[in-house]
This record gives sequence, C-alpha cells and structure tokens, in this order.
Amino acid sequence: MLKITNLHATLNEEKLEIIKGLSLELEQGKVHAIMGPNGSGKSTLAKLIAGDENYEITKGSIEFEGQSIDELDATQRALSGIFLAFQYPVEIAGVNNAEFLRMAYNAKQKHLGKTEADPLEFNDILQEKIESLNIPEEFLDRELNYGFSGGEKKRNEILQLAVLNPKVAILDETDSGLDIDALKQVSEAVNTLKNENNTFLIITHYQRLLDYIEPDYVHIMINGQIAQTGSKELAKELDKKGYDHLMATT
Amino acid sequence: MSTLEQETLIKHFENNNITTPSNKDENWLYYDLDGLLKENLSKEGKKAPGISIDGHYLYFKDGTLEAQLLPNDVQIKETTINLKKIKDSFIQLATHTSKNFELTFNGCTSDISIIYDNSHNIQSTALCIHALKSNITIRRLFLCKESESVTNNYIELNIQDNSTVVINEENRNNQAHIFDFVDASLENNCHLIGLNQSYLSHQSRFQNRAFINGSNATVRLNGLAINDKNNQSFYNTHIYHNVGDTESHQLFKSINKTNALFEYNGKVSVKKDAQLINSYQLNQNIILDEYATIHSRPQLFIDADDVKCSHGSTTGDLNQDELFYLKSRGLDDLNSRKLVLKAFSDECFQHPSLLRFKTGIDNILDHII
Repeated sequence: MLKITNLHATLNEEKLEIIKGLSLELEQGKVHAIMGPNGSGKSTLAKLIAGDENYEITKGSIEFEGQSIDELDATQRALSGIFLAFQYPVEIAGVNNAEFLRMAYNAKQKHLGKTEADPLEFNDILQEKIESLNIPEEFLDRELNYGFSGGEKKRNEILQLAVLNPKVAILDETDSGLDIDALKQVSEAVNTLKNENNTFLIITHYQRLLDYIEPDYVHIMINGQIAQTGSKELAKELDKKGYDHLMATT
Repeated sequence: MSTLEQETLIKHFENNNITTPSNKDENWLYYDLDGLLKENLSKEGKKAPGISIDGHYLYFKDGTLEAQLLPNDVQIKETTINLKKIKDSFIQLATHTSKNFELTFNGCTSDISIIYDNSHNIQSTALCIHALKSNITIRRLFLCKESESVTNNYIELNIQDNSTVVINEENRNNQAHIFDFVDASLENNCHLIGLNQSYLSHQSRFQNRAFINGSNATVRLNGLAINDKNNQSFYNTHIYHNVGDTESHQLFKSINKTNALFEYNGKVSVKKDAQLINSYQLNQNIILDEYATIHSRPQLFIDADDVKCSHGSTTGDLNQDELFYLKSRGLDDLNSRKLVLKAFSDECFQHPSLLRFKTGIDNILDHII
C-alpha cells in the first residue's frame, strides 16, 4: 500500500541527512511497528510520509497505492488517505475542535465527490465516534488541543483518526503521555479501526503498547535506516537486550 | 475637483494657534506627517451616500451635526471642552470646532451609533459624554472614502456612579487620514471596554487615554488592525492608574501585508500610592509578507511597589507548525491560513461586550490572503 524505496532526506535548514537509504513496505491490512533509539529518524520518517516541507527528499521515493507522492503537498496526501497522529500535537487557540473536525471531514468528502455534512449531520457522526472511543463530549467544545493534557491530546488525535478513516495511519509515539487506562482505550480504538483495507504504522519506544495492539511486523530503525525486520517477538527481544548489539553491527 | 494648497493643514493649525506635531513627539514618531502635508486635500465635498441607521444615532456630515435620534431621556447641548493634558495638536484642533457637544446619560441603558461621514478637507468634531448610573454602548463608524481628506475627532468620556461604557470604533475600507482621540476618566466602580478596529484602510490613528481615578474601576482596551498593502495603523494608549485597587487589560493585534505599517505604543502609568493594581498589556503581530513594518512599544511606568504589572509583544509570520498540522488533516493552504488568522483575530473579541462587534472578519481575511 505504501512503499518507500532507498529514501534519503535532510532537514532543510541544516542540510543534515537524517534518513539514509531507508526502504520499507507497508502492507494493506497489516499493522507495522517501528522501534528504535532516540534520534534514529522515526519521527522524521513519519513527517516525511505526511508531507512536512521542513524536510527535503534528496534521493529515493515514496509510493502510495502505486503512485509516487513525492510531489504531493501535505493536504493532497491527507486527502488521498494518509494520516499522521502527531507525537506533539499543535495547540491552536481559537479554533473550535468540533468545527475543525467538520472542516477536515468535509474536505475529504469533497475530495471523494461525496456530500458534505452540515453541522447537525456531522454532530451525529461525532457523537457516534466519541461514544465508541469513550471520549468525553466536552472535548468537542474545546479549542483545538489548547489546554489539553498530553494524554488528552493523544486521544484527540485518535478521534481525528476515527473521523477521517484514513488508508494509512501513522501513530508517532501515541503511547507517550498516556496513563494505563488511556493506553488501553487508545489501543482498543486502534484495534477497532484497523481492518483489511487500511494499514497502521506505529512508532513506539515501548513493548507495552504492542501488548495491546498486536503488530504483524516489527521494524528496527537505527541511524536513518531499517536495520532489522521481524515478527512481534522481535519487540520482546529488544525489551530484554536493548539496541546496543544492533547499533554495534549497523 | 479643485485642491487646496499643500499648506492647508499647517494653516489650520496656525489659525488656531496650535503647533503641528513633530517627530520629536514620541506619539508621532512613525507617523508620516510630511507625507500628509504633501497630499492635496479636496476642497469640494462629494454627495454623501445614502445610509440607513438603526436605533439611536448622531450623524456628523463633514464635521457638522446633521441628524440625530436620541433616547427621550438623553439631552444634547453645546458645550466647551477643557482638555486634561493638552499636548496633542490634533486633539486641540478637534476642540476648536465651531460647536462642541455634550451628551448626558443618567440612569439609563442605551446603545448609540455615532457616524462620521466626511468627504473633503479637514473635518473635526468634539463631543463630551457623561455616563451616570448608566450602561452605554457606543458604536463609532467612519465613512471617509475620499483619500483627500482628514477626519479628526475627539471624545471625552466621563464615567461616574457605577457606570459602564462600551465603545467600539470601526474604520473599514476608508481612504482618509483618520485621527481619533478618546479620553476617558473613571470614578469608583466604573468600567470602560474599548475596541479599535481598522480594516483595509489607508491610515488610522487611534489614541485612547484612560484616567482611572476611582477604586474598583476597570479598563479593557482591545484592538485589531488588518492592513492591506501600504495601509498604516497606529494605536496609542495610555492608562493612568491614579488610585489603587484598579485593573487594566490591553490586547492589540495586527495582520499586515506588504509595505503595511503598524504601531502599538502602549503605556501604563501607576502613581506612587496606587497600590494593588493589576495591569497587563499584550501586542501580537503577524506579518504576511516580507516587507511590512511593525513598531511595538509596550511600556510600564510604575511608582507603586505592591502591584502586578506585565507586558508582552510578539511579531512573526504565520506559524508553520500550525499550518502543517491543519494541512495534514486535509485542509488546503488557503483554508489553513485563514483558520489560523481567524483564530488569531477572534481573541480580540473574547469579551461578552465585544462579541457583537465581530462582523465581516471572514470577508476581510479572504481579501488579504
């Protein structure tokens, strides 16, 4: 579904190469997990896929459903079905959460040639989502991520994920900042949302999340490359051994 | 159309024994008076567009009170205005008009619109408003489409006996030079809520001074300027905390296109014995293009030692992280920028008394993005 081939990328301002020849293929209907030490380029990879213009692809390509998306901007990628749940969701004061969700939902409906939802119709859609995700209704009246705790922001990202129903969902350290109950709720939401038509890429530091969301593949990313790919057992092995032995051989 | 000589403005000052402001005056430091003096001023007026006004109003046409509709219990009469601190030449010019007026609101709740419809030359008005045991909302609108004119107005507000005054100034799509001055004095338990709006207008110069003379009095001054190419707006404020147990809050924002100029020159003065006051001033500016100019000068002059006073100022372009976040949810660049700017602007109206004045901002943002 999403194929990354020999990708090299730099941060625009510093011309520092962060992704150094990374190849990865995300299969439809599968859950992929990426683990790796700090600074290995995991979040950069997530932002590159989502179309962050702060990064420049110097070599290689990203294909989505057989088409290169290198020339698409973030909006076009989102509309085509790519979603990034941010590690640090941005707070935007003054933007109503529910209204923002409706704008995003309608942008996608319009792109797909479907009827846009009026506020009343969308309210019904939202009510169903927040009930199924066990998200408090007061989330909707608040400003976009403004004043949210770390855990609330992550749950708001999952709400957006549920509303937009993407084909490729990238979760960048969604488990950080979550307490045990919230972690279970977010995991259950992801398990509910995953199906044979989409794919999930879960970036995490901890095996704990993968106890709840069972990955089909675990990729270890070190120094801007995929150093190893394996099954969920690989994550358990990492939990015991750490990254040192892999870094020494990379 | 005939035009007056370049020295018209200077002659107006000379005829009234007033000195023209110079660049030595801090309040006029960045105002292009030389440019104004070089502009030709139209001598002949153009026919005023027909306007319909709802509710109570005063209608000034070229500096003359031409029409009025006031509540039954509100009287208007001619008066002489004595300025509190006479340093600003344009205030003096306004008070030298042939007729100064005085309005008294006593024990009433009223909304009133004041319309300034100027078409040529230099037009001045001066008005003194007394609020006694009253809640008054004043909406001031400027209809000054002609670039060859100067609109110069002064209002003195005397707020007494637990009164509240809300005053909103709107300068939209005007080409004239607007010099506008409001001096407010507040006694015990009185409140002033002010809003200055300048949108897509050639030159706006709003000056607000508030003299807080009674305890438990509060002042809120908000302002928003949306400057198109080459537009200029100047917001000058000075709040005098003359007694303790008082509050003042200021929030002034601007959005600026190429070659626009915005100045916020905000002052708060706290007298030696004015303890336990709370004052905050914030100026935030967004520059949409490379060559806009911002002068931001929030200033505190504090002689008391038990007060809470703070200020802040930020100037920058649109937050790229915010834009990327919105785009990553499928919003296009235009809608993302508009949403961020709308959220930025909305904060200026986040007071129950000011919400009603948030009109037409979407269209203005559409125009400048």
